[in-house]
Amino acid sequence: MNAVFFLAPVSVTIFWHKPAGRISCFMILLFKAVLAISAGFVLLAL
Amino acid sequence: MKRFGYLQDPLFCVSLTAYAVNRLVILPHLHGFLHAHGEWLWPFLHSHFDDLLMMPVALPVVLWLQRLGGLRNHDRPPGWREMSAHCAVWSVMAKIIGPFWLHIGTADPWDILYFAAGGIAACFWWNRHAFTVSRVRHEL
Repeated sequence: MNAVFFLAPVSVTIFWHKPAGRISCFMILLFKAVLAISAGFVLLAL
Repeated sequence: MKRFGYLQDPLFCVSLTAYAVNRLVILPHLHGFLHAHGEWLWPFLHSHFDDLLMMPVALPVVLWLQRLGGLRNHDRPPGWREMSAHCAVWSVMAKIIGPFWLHIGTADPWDILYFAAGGIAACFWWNRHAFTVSRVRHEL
């Protein structure tokens, strides 16, 4: 459940930024880290 | 460079199937038989097999999500840096944050070796074409 609460805002933020085309390298790295951590929560739940 | 298949990658499909068979068939239904007859097989299947399959199963899914979200701008096979970064994050989460803070799972340091072994083997497999090409170029 934690993973869902974590994943939902992250996904929305990523898809919100994508069409805008102003995503910086730092933001990409940050989103990748958040996605990896979210996946880690899912793996923990499994 | 060969395009990476993400969720259609053969290694991902085989690993996911092996994971599902182990979790849904072998562990619950063959527990007694393997406990009695498989001296080394049972501890491996019970404790380490899932850890070995974690990177080949989880990494393609995360990279596919990155591709969907525009965070990955190519379809090359997973690189060593991608694999090791995810392996490090998931090892910390599964073996430190999970057991000590969230009280989920066990803090067995051997599991990290199995995560890494699975990731290294998978990365070699995914990048096997690159190795072949570079070796041919070197020989020429």
